Amino acid sequence: MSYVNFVKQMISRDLQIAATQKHEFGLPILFFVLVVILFPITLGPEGTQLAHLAPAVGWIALILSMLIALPRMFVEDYENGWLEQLFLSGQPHILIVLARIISFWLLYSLPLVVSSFLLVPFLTLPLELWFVLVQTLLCGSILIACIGSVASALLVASRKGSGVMALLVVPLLIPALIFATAAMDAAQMSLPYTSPLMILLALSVFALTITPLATAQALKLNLG
Amino acid sequence: MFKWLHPYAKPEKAYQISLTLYKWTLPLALIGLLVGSIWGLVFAPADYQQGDSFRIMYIHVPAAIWSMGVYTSMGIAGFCALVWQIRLMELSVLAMAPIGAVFTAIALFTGSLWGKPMWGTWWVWDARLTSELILLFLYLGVFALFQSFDDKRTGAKAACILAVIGVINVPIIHYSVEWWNTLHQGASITKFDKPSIAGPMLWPLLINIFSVLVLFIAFTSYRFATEVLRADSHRKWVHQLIKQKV
Amino acid sequence: MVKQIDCGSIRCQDILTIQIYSLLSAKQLTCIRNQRVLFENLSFSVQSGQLMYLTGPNGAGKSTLLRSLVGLHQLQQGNIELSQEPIEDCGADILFIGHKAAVNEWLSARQNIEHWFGLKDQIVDPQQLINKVGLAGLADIPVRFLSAGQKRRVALVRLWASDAKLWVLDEPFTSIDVTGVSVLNQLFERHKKQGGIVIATSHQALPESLVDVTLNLEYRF
Repeated sequence: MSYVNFVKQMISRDLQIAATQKHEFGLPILFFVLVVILFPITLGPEGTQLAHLAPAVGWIALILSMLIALPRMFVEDYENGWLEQLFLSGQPHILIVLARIISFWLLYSLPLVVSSFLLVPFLTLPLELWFVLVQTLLCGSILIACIGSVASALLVASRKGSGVMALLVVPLLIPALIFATAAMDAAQMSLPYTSPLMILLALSVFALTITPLATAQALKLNLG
Repeated sequence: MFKWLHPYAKPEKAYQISLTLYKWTLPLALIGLLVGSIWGLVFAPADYQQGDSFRIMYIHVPAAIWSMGVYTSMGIAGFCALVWQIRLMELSVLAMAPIGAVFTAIALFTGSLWGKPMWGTWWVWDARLTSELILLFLYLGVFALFQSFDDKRTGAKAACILAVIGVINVPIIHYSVEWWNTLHQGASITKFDKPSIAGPMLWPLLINIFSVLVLFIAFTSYRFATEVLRADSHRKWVHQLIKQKV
Repeated sequence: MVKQIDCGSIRCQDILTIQIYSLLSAKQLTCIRNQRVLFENLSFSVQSGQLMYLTGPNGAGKSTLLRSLVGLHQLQQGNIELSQEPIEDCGADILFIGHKAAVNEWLSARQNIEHWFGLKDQIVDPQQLINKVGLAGLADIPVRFLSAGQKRRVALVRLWASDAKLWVLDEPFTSIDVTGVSVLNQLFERHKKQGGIVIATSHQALPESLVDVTLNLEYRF
């Protein structure tokens, strides 16, 4: 079986399972919306201040909602034994992880990135700034999914998930956050913002090449 | 490739060596620290700008340098442990982690003490302090991860994986934070922008930096020896050792 | 500790389909878990056409041994080879059914089977297999609505269409009824005749005619 077919098959299985439990996938989005709503309520409903904070709010809400979703990345397949069958299938372990990162990104991250559109009406974020924000969130969500996959794999067998998860993931996301906000700041001052965005993209691609190795190792460790 | 290392990879041998290393390095480190600190804190001339408050540098700088250094060596040890499946290397990662965390905490604490007279506040989002803070969280993550496993061996391996991922990230974090800082603060006060430190101030600093390294080696070898004993507590050589001691 | 019952070498005419003679050899296995030695310097070998029955009390390390035999668990010491190849490289030759059945509760039996054989790149007729294990009519409802025994049958479907040389089965008879057990025994017999190897644990005794090698693990403190 070719590698591409294998990855396709893995992803289609994940989507099939997702289709049977749709409500599960709405929860991170709801959480995202809740976090966004908290800001106007705590800061007061003045438009200009909110618009200024909107990109930061979008990023914080994305990270928090991803942290909610991340523990689920491998846990179900670990518990029902599908993961050990995958590891015995003779396919490269990195592909198993990559396929899961892709389907996780499609199922959790992409909807969150799309729902960041809520910032436009709720926090009066100008539409052209939202386009920039979406680009940073797209790059960033790949990075979060990659780094999160390592943490999720490391913690797949332990029951005390989310607190430790945040401790493992958030420090590693600081560089991404820095470049994303730099791009947003530049865009807000209508300066060119491509270079920080490109660095962010580079970080994501780098993570996409490195982290599957670590994730596969971590899963193997927990299967033993 | 590492055939010559093989005899040292036996736990009992490693235990003996690390204890010997501890016995020799601890006095050296303490003498060095004593000399460096007294020289630095008492005899070195006061800074013409900062007065006496700069003297905390003799504690802060060594701790800050080795907080990064320890993490790097943890990452390298973790990498070796994972690639060559060396169990003793896993133990060395566990031995190093708390020491590095303490160095980081000291660097943070003294940095903020130093910040008070210099900036007028306890905390400034200065590049160095920020990356130290993130480093502290990286260390805490290694602990928390190790603690969340029932099987110590699995936990140690997991900690190795995290240390490797972390060490790849340390330079990225460091430089991005530095870049972020210059972006937001412009050229504000940074601690080492002075042309260079004068000789009489520099020597005690160098001595302290070296002594803290030796201290790290001493503590690590002691903790490592303990970890070896704990991990091998069911083995014969440990039982014999206990019989000899009792 | 290791009691070996020699059943003699297999004769060529017993092998129905032509399969390469294979041998699973385990040498000097040592496993320490949570600071407890489960087994030490354990060596054995199983060859084509043999069934090894692994017995021992709970906590003796049977499951861990099985997981090591398929290369999932890394042992402190020892090496395991299938026909002179390290076991880690033999994924395609192994069928492992552990405590966890690898059945997704949200999918139907048919979907589970399709994914299963898709993973092994094997084309099968799911409906036919489902009928064979007596689940006709239940093929398209989510597995979580099935009974424990029926779920186990879904997992065991793999045995019917497996082309793996080595079967490693952890408690295959759990929640299976009497007729099911006898069908499974027939399957083991067939697999042996085809030159395969079966390694199984079971708290329910296997028929003596089927067992070639017995390995008893003792609980160690």
